Amino acid sequence: MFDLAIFAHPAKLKKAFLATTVVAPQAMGDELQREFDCLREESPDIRMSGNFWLDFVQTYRGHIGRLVAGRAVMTVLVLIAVLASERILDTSNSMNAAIWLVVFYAIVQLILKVVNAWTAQLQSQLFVCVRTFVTLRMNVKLLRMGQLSGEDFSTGNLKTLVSSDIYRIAELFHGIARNGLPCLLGLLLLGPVIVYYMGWPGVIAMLVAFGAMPLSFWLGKYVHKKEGLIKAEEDTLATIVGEWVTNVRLLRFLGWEALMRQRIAGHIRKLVIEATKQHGVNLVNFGVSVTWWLFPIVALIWANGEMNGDQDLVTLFASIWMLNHITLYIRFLPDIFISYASASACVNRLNQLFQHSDIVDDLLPPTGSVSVSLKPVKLHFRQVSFCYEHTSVEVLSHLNLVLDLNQGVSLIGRVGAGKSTLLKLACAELKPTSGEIFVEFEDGTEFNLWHSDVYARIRESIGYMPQEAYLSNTNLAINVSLNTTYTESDVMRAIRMAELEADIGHWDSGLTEEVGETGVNLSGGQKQRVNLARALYSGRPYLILDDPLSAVDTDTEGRLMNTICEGPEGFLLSTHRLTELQRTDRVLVMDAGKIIEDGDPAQLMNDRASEFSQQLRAGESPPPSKKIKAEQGEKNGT
Amino acid sequence: MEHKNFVTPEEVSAEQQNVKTILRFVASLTLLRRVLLPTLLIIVFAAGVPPYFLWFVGEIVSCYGAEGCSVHHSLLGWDIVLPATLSTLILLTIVAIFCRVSAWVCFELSGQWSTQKIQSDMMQSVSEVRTTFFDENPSGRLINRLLGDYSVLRLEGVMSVGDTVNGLAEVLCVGVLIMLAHPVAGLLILPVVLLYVALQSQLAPMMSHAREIRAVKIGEALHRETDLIEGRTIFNLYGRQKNLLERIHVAFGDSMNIQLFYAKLMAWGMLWMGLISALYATVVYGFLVYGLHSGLLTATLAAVVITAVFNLNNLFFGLAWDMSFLGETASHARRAFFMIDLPHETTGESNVVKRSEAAVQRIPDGRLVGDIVFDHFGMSYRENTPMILNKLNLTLPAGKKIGVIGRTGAGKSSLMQALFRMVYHQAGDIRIGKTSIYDISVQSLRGHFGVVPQDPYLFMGTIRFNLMGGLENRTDKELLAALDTVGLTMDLDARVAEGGKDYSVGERQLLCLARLVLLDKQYILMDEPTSSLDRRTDEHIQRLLTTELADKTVITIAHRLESLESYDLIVEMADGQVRRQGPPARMIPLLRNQYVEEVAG
Repeated sequence: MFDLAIFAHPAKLKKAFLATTVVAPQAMGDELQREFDCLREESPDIRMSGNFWLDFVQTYRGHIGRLVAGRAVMTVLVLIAVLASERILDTSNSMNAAIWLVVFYAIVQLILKVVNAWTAQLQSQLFVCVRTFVTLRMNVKLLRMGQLSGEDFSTGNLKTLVSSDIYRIAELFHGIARNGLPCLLGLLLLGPVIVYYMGWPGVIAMLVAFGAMPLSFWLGKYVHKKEGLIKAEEDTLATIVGEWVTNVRLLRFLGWEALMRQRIAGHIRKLVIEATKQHGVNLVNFGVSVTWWLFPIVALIWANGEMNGDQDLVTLFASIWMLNHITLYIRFLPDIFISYASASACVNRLNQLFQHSDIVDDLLPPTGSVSVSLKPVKLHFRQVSFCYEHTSVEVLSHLNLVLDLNQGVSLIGRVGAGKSTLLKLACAELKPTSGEIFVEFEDGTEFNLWHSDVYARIRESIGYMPQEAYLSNTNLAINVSLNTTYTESDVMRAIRMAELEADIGHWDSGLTEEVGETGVNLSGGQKQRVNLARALYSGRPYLILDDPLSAVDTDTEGRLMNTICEGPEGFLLSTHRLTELQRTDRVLVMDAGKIIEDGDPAQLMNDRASEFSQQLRAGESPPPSKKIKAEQGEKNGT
Repeated sequence: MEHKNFVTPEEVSAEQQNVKTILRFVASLTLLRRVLLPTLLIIVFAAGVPPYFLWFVGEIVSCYGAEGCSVHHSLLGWDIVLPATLSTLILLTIVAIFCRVSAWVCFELSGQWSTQKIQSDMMQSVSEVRTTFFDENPSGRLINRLLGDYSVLRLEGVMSVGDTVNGLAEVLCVGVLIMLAHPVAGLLILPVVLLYVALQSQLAPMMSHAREIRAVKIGEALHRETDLIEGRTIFNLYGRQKNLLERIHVAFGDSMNIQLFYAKLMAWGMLWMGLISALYATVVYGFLVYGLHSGLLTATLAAVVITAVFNLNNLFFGLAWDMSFLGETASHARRAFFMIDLPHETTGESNVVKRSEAAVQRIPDGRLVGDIVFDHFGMSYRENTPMILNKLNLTLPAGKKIGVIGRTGAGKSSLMQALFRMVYHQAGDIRIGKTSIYDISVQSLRGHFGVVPQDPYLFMGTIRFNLMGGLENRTDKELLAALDTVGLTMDLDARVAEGGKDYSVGERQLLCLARLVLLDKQYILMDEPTSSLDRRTDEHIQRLLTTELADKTVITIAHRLESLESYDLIVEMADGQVRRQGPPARMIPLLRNQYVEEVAG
C-alpha cells in the first residue's frame, strides 16, 4: 500500500533512474490493478451503470477512502501541532515541560510529513485511475459499436476526448483531493475548535475567509473564457507558421518572407494582448486570494473586541493558525467549480458515447444452420434503401441486385451516386434502412445477412478496403498484417502484389519502416496500396475495394488490376478509372442511388448509347471536385 | 527492452549552462529590464507586509484596552507609530493585496509582453537560414520550436523567473523575522534553503526526464487508442481486435507505469523536503522556548514566528518547485536561442567566392540587366555532397523566352534555386549582365525575379493577400485588371483556406499568373506543373507570353515539349550540364525522337 522506496536515498534513486529509460513496474492498488487487467479483455465485466461519477467512486472506493482518511489524519495532526505550539507559548510551563513539548511537536511533524507524502502519492495516482477508468470503458464500447454517426462522435472529437478532455476529469478529482477535501476537513475538524476558543467571532472570521470566493470565481470564469480565444489564436499561428516552414522555397522565390514575418508578428501581438489581459486578471485573482487570509484575522480581532471577548494573545494566535489551515485551501475552490463545468461536459460526451447502440442490437438471432465451412456464393439485395441517420435523403433507393461472389464486378458512377454506401452495405458495415440483403450459400440456402451467424460468416469472407485509407502509426508490416506477430514472407507477398516492393526498397528499414501518424511518411498512392496489401494479406476470398486506384499512375494501375483480377475468387471494385475495366466480368453504373446500367463491359462499351461507353470516350469520368467531396464527407458523418 | 542511457553528455553540459541561459533570457526581456529595479523593490515590500501585519496584530492584542493605544516599535531600525484601529488593519491588508498584485503585474506582464521580441528574433533568424535546414528538420518539430517553445517561454518561462524571485523575497522576509527572535535561528534558514535546492536538484532532473518519458509513452498509448477510434471498423472486419487490445494494453501499461513512478517521485520529494522543514521548524521552536523562558522574547514575536514557521514548508517547497521550473525554462530558452543563433544562409558563400563584405551592396529593383550567364558554375544541395550542377556553362539571353527541358534529376530545378542563391556554391559564378549575383544582397537579388511555382500554393488569408503579397500602393482597380488579364473574376476579399484548397488547381495557377502580371519583373521563372495543365491555363500562359511578358526574359522549366513551340531557345539538360540547345524548330523534332525512343526502350 505504501511504497517504501520513497524513503530511498536521493542520490541513489537518481542514479538508478537516470541510467535508463525503463522504469521498473510500479506497485498499484488492487482496484486499479483489477481495472487495468480488464483492459486486455474484449468484453470484460465492468461497472457501467450510466452514472459516471457514481461508478468512479464505487470502483475506486478503497483508493478514495484511503485518500480521505489520509487527509483527515493530516488535519488532526495539524490540530495537535497547533495545541502543542499554543502550550509552548505559555511561559508558565517549566522549561523542562516546554522542551518535552518541542520533542512532541517534532514527532507530530514527522508523522505529518510521512502521511503527507503518502496522500500526495495517492492523489497523483488519481490520474492513473481516471485514465484507466475512461480508457477501459471507451475501448469496450468502441469495439461493441457499429458505424458511428453524428458530429459528436467524429474521430477528431473522440481523439480530443482521450488525449486532452479526460484530463479535465482527472484535474477535477485532483483538485478535490488536494484542496477541496482539506478545506472541508479543516472546517469540520478545526472549525469547532476555533468556535470553542473564540465563540461567535470565530464563526464570523470563518465566514469572512470565504469572502473572496465570488470574486475569484467570477475572475476565474473570465480567465477560462479567454482560454478559448488564446487557443484559437495559437491555432491560427500554427497554421501560418506551418505554411511557412513547408513552403520555404516558394516564399523565398516570391520574396514574401518579410511579409510572413509581419503577419506572424501581428498574430503574436494579438495573442500576447489577449494572454496579457488573461494573465493580468489571473494575477489580480491570485493576488487577492493569496492575501485574503489577512481579512479573517482582522474580522477575528474586530469581532472579539466588539463582542467584548477577552481572549488572550495565545488563544488568538492558536485560532489564527487553525484559521490559516482552512484559508490556505479556499483560494483553490473556485478552480474546482470551474473545472467541474468542463469535466462534466466531458462526462456528458462520454455518457452519450456509452449509450450509443451496439452492433449486437442490430443483429437477428442466429439461424443455427450456418456452419463455418459453408461458403457464401451470392448476395441478394432486395428492395434495399438506405439513408444516413440524421438526413432524410435516400442514398440508395429500392435497389435490387444479385452479386456473384465468384465474379469480378466493377462499380462506376459520379461522386455521390451511392457507390461507397453500396459497398459498405455489401460488407455489412451498414445495415439497410429498409429492404433486405440475403446471403446465398453453396448448398442453396438463403438467409438474411443480419442473422448473427450469417453476419459472422460473411464478415469472415470479405476483405474490405475503405475509400479513406486507414493507417496506424506503427511500422509497415503491422499495418499490413494488423498483427504484431506476422510471417515476413506473407507480408512481403502481399506487398509485392500491391506493387509496394519498389517503394519499400527506398526505405532504410524496409518492412519495419514507421509510417508515421495517419501515414504522413507515405504518399497518397502508397497509403492506398498499403490498404490494398492489407486486404490481399488477409487472404479473404472476396474483396470489396472502394476506389483503390485513384492515386496511382497508369502503369501501376494496370499491374494492380492484374493482381486484383487474378488474386481473390471475386471482387467488387468502385473506381473512377475506366480504362482497365474491360477486364472485369461485369460493370455496374450507378447514378443517384440506382443502378442504371449493368452488364458485360465489352458489350456496354460497344453500345454507343450506354453511359459507360460515353464516359469512356470522354476520357476518365471527372474527378470529384473538392467541394462535393467535402459535402459527401459531412453527409457520411465521417 | 533496450536500456539506453537517458542523460547524454551533451545534455549534462547543456544543463551546466542553465544559469547563463536564464540570464540571457531575462536580459532579452526588454520591457521588463526597464522596470526591473522598482519591481524588485515592490516584490520585497509585498513579501514583507504580511509578517509585519501579524506582528502589528500581536501588539494590538497585547495592549488591548489601554486608552489611546498606538503601537510603537522599531522594525529594522525604522520607528513606526500606527494607531491601533480597525481601519489601520484594513488599510494594511489592502496595501498587502495591492503590493502583491502590482509586484506580479509589473514582473510577469511586462515580461510576457517583452517575449514578442524573442519570437520575432526567431522568425527573423529562420527566414534567413539556409533552405536545406528545413529539409533536415521535420516541419512538426520546427513549428513546435517556433511556437511551442515560445508559448512556454511567454507564460511559464516568465512566471518561473517571477515566482522564483518572489519566493526568494518571501523566504528572505521570513528569515529576517526569525532573525529578530534569534540571529542564529534566522541564519539557519540559509543552509535549509541550500538543502532544499540540493534536494530539488536531485529531484528536478528526475521529474523532467520522467515527464519526457511520460510524454513519449502517453504518445504511444494515444496512437494505439487512435487505432481503435479510427481503425475500429478495419480491425473489426479482419477480426484483429484481440491483437489491438493487447497492443493498447502494453502501451497503456507503459504510460501508466511511468505515471505511477512520477507519483512516487512526487511523494519522495514531498517527504524529504517535508522532513527538512520539520527539522528546521523544531529547531526554531527550541530557540523560541529558550527565548521565552529567558525573557529575551515577547510572546507576540514568538507567536508571529510560529505563524511563519507553520507556513514555511509551503514556502520552501514552492521556491524549490519554481527553481526546478527555471530548469525547464532554461531548456526551452536554449532551444529558442538555438533558433535565434542559426547562421545566415549566406554564411560560407563568402568563403567560396572570397569577396569582401564591402562588395555586398544593395541594388534597387530593376537595376540588374542583361544576359544571365552561368560561368563554370557548380553547386550542391548539401555541403559535402557531389555537385548537382557541374561546371555549367550556359547563357540565357535577355529578353528571350527560354525553355529548359530534361529528365528528373537533370538539374532543371537546381538552375532556379542557384539563381536564388539557395544552394551550396561550389565553383564558378553566375552573372546577370556584368554583376555577379554573389555581389549583391540576397533580398535585392531575389527581388529581380517573378516566379510561377510548380505547385500553385495559396496562403491562408484573402485573394487580395495572395495577389498583392508585399506589394504596396496597388488599387483594387489594378488588382481586378490583373485578374481580368488571366480571365478570372473573383471577390478580392474572398477567404482562402490553408493551401488554397477551396480553389481548383487551375484557378490557383491563374492566380499565380495574375500575381506575375502585377509584379512586372524583368526576369520571369516558370516551373511548369508535372501533371498536365488544364487547357484554359495553358492558353492564358501562351497569350501572356506574347502580350504582357513580351519584352521580359522568361525561363520556363518545362515538362512538356508542346508548350515550348513559341519559344526562342530550348535548353536540354542532363547530369547537371547542358546537353544540347537550339531554337525550337531544330530541338523539338530531336527531343521528340528521343522521347519516343525512351518510351519504346
